[in-house]
Amino acid sequence: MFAVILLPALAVPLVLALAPRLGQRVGYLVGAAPLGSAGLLAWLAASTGSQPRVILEIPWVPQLGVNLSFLIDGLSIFYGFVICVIGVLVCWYAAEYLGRKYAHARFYSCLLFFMTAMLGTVFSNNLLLLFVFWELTGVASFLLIGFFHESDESRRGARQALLVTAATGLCMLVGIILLGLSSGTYSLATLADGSLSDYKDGGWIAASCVLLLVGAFGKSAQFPFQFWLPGAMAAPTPVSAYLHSATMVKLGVFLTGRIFPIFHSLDLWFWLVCGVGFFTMLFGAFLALRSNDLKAILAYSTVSQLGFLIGAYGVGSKTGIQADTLHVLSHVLYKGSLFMTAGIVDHCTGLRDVRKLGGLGRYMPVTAFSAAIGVAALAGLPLTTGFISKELLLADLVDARAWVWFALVALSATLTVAFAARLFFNVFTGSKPEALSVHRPGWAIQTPPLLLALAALILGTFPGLLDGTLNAIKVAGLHGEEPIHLALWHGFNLEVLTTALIIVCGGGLYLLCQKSGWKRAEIPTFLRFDAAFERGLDGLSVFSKRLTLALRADWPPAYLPIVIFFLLVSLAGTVAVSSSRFFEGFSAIDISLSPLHTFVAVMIAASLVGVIVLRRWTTQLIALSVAGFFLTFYFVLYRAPDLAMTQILVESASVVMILLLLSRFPSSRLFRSEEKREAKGRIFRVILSGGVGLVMTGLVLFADRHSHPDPIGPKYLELSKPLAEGTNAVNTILVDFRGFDTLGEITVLLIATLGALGLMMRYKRGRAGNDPAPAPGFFLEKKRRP
Amino acid sequence: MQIETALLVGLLFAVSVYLLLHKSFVRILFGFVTLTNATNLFLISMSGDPDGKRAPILAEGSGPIVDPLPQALVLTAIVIGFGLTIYLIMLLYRIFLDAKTTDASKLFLPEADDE
Amino acid sequence: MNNLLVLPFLLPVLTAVICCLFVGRPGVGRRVFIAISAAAQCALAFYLAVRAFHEPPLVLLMGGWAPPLGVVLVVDGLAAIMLCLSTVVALACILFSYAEIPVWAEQPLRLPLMQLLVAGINLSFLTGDLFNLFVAFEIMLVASYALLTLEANDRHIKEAFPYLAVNMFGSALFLVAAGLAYSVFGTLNLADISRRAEAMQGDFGVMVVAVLLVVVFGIKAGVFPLYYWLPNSYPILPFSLGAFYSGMLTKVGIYVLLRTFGTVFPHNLTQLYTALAWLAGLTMVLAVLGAVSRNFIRGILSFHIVSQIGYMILAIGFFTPLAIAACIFYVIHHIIVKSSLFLIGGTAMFYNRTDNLARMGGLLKASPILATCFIIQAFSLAGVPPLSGFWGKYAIILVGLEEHRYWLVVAALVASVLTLVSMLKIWMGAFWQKLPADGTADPEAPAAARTMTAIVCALTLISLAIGFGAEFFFGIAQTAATSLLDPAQYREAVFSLTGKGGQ
Repeated sequence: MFAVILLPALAVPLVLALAPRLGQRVGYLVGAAPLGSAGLLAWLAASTGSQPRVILEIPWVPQLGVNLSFLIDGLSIFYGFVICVIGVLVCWYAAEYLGRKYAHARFYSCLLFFMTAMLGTVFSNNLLLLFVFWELTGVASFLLIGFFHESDESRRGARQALLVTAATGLCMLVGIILLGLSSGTYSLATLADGSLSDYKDGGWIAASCVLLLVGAFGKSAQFPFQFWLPGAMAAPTPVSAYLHSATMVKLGVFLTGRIFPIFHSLDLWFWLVCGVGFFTMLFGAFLALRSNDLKAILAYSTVSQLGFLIGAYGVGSKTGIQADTLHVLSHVLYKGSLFMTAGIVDHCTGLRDVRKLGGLGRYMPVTAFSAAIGVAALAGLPLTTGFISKELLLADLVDARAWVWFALVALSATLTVAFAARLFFNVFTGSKPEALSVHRPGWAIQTPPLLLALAALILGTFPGLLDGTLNAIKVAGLHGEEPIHLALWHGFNLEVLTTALIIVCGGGLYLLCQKSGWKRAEIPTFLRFDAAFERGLDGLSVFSKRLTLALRADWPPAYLPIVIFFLLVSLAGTVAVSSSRFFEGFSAIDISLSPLHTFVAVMIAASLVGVIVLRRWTTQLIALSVAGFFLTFYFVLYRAPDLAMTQILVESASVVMILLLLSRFPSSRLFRSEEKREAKGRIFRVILSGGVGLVMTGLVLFADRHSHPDPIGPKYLELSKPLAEGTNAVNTILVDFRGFDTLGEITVLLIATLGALGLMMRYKRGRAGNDPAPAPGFFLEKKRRP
Repeated sequence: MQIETALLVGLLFAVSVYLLLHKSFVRILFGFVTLTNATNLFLISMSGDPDGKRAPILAEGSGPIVDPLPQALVLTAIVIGFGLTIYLIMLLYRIFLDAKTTDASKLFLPEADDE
Repeated sequence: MNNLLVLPFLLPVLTAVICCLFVGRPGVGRRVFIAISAAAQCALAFYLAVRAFHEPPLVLLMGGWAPPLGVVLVVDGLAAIMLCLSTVVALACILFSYAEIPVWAEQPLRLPLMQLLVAGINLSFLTGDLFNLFVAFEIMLVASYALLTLEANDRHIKEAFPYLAVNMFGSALFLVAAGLAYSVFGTLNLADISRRAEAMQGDFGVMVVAVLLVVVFGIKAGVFPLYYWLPNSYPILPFSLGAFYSGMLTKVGIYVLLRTFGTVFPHNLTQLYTALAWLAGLTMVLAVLGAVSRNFIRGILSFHIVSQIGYMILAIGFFTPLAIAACIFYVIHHIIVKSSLFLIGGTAMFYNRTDNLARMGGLLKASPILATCFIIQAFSLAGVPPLSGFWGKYAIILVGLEEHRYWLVVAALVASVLTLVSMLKIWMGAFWQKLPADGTADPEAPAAARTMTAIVCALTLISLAIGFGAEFFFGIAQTAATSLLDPAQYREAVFSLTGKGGQ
């Protein structure tokens, strides 16, 4: 099992090594990896028999519920084959398509990485593991879309794709988690067997359904996420053929199929899935009709067809799912083929604009043949698989009596016929415009699309060939019990009539547009979601700049006020929450004043006021030091002689240093005029500082009333003499009991010294020294390189 | 004594914050010095009311002794604060040398390029 | 044997002192000496970690004094993890700085100051005493101020000033909180506070001290609206130091928040947790919007630090055992990824000579290995599975949904997508975009560029290991969380040792 998934990934180092030597032919070698996987898969399928259901489990991160749990059943084997077989064809196609000068190593490594991720997704049993691989496919797609990374268009397309799929992927993750929390398991097999009513919390189930579907819609480019797919067309055409038509975008369809057994009983399911699916079908067809670029037309038509595929799951909740795999297969065959032919056209003419192409059938008949079949299947003409699949869907809609959706589907099909006709007739028939230069494509490049087209043709003509396979890959819980029987002709019924009508009307629409010269083939601006997305991203940049400015995050003088404000708010909030408990005991505070203490306190207060009020810096400094020295005395009153001594020393040293600094600053007289301008913010400053002061006073009083009855301080007094052999308790604490703190304190002094030293070190300005006056500071000679 | 200390602490903090919020380097510097003083006073007040108690020097003599631990903490804090003050002085000097101004708001005018 | 516990602090200090006294001039010998010392610190940290996970918390009584008289150093699971991470990142940054600047141009004080910074950070993780934590913070902060201004050029040095202003105020606040804590609890030893706080449940003093400590640690960690000083000051650092700052400094704030809420305070401060969770939500979204608004690599990455801190604080705000484990796992993931992203930015700047995205380009061609490392780490930060970032985010979202905190989960997801947007900005601007006409993508010294890329690769490989081996790392986080949320075990380890003066 693991070999199937990991084989492509393991081939990467080989590719990286050989690519420089083999050049573009390395594509054939690369194709061997998915071929090998396909072979292993076939053997696996054979050994598990019909309608298999095997689970393999290896623990990975069991604590978080993610295990390497793989489910081998019909659906996963089917998708696995699609991925591998189309992968082989794409590799061979790419070997011819990419010219000599591309970075083959990077291209094929990303492609192989993608293959591994896809295989992992379809075989996952654990929903979280599925998410892991899902996101990895998004990453691989990002790298591949942006392959021509020097082009703006590629970069933008890649970014759009990644952001949309990542965002919807996150919604999906939440949905998965909600589902897991409600049901208690992440295993798809268990979930498919269980029933919704067993799970707790109805609100979560509905939410999880919606979120999972959002994820699916995002990946499959359904409305309103459809805009990333045309943007992804900036990728090289093999990538578009592989990822954005055949495999990655099918993941949404795949997921819808996987969660169908879980959610299909919800009413919500029918309306949401049909609604979004069929509306997208119409919308996509409409946009395809109005596009001019070959790949854009194909992209929008993919969007439309994916809507068809998803909508089928919606209808199926009423009528039972029969042939979802047939629908997928049909789309894979013709879309892959059409993309490849578009690539050939692009390769040979250098153009993708339909208006400038024409008459190519003469130069590349084989390609024209493949295109013809592809277009026929797209339009749903008889003898192709497209016809069979459309008939079945219309039949389902009739059975379900869903006339609104029926009408939508019919309308979309009509538009599809129109642009399908344009795709073929305007490119391959008619006359070749003068300015067009064509070179004939080689055989090798035309083979893969031919193979796909032939398959579409043969299976369309003899649909009974598929009966056995389709029955063998049924999945319990998803598919109905009765065996499928496909036939080309089911008799005259509503579906056949409708199809005939569709073809006629579509043809008519085409001729109408052709006559008017496709003048209105321009997508109106309000529907250009991708442009809106880009504008949104630019707008985000502007918005974030404005927001940052508004939050004052770019105005440093605002930082401290904001911090202080936050402090006040949080403390005020805490006190407000239970103010009684904060203020209890305050009434018992001793308010008797002693004259000495009061005198000292008043002196300190007066000198502080002086610092604020006085005009010149020197007088402010004097006031400051007066405050400091009186504080020393205050310490003495607090019975702390050591403290007072330290404070005197530190105070004196600080005053000296400040004086030195002030002597270098320009005179305070020059500054006074600017002080007046500061009056504006004064109220705010007063409020903030007053608030802080009030809070601190409150805290001191609070501490006084709430002090712990048994502090450890007195213990130091007891033990100072006997154990630390010192009579000064403060000293012994500093030096012995808590000497480690003192070590830290000394380290801080060391660092401050080094920092101050570092501030004054400068390098002489080097080579371009056009410096008028060198800055003072002592210089380190910048040694020349020896 | 605690009530006087409480009011004084409040005043010290208020004055220091007021000074800190100014634009002149000198005011900011004075603000920090006052801030260190304020926090030190706050810490020492945590040792409780010193009335009627002795200093924590275990000479002869009896009677209650004031709590020595906050004093030790304040000593450490004073020294650390001193180191920081010196560093701040040097930093302000260096910024003054480079930016040629002692007005903090002038430092942060928007510049030509985004860097 | 427990004397080893002081070495994560002592070794860097000794290294710095020896460098200043004896080996002052920059030279190859000095570089080798410091590298050996850093490697030894690394080995020591891992040895302590192995022991801490198999035994009850390791305790060392400084000076032999019984707690709560003396200072104790305690290493339990969480502290050991943090020590390992800080020494590994320090080693990577030191080696990167060797490649960043040739020997003859090195600023002689840079390496000693960096060692002192490491010492301060390690001590914050080791200490079991509140005032000693203050001293450790001061060591760390002053060293960070000194390093910040050491090599700043004339235009940038003023950005250091707001950093200083806010953090100095924070230090003053810490002193106030410590004093208040002493008054309310009567002790400074964390284990003792824990014991007394449990007996005092319902006392309002506990709440007031807790709120003050949250504000202080919030300034350090970078919670809204206290984070403004960070995104404008980190960009002026050279990349190797920026990597270290971004990896470790804010995580010290997270560590102390975890320690206070987990071990010291009783687990019933629900209003505080809720307030923290909402602040975290604001932090996540507003900071990542700030990242989107910047146009140079260091600016974007600095804002990301704050946004990712928001995730960790959100996890703390949820406060369930799984959430705390998610927080610890996220810390492990983020330190490695953030530091490596800064180092990648440094290497990119080495190639393009600038880190302004408008003038950079062409790096995918110039160095595919660097590009691969960047895309891996960028996606890891954004939360793409199966990289390390995904597991952390997934766990946090899981807890959020379990606790019915839907708005916060939405905020977390929005922040995730916006992180991706800003990461893509760097990727597209520096790696995918074509080189502008006047730019250059040739490194000055190819050998140095190769060393830088090698270091970056090593860190990326570690990050990949965390992602793929999430079971192992999440298990470590769970163990650390369990022991963190079990104060009884912590207290017992501390008080079981007999020291002088014990009762």
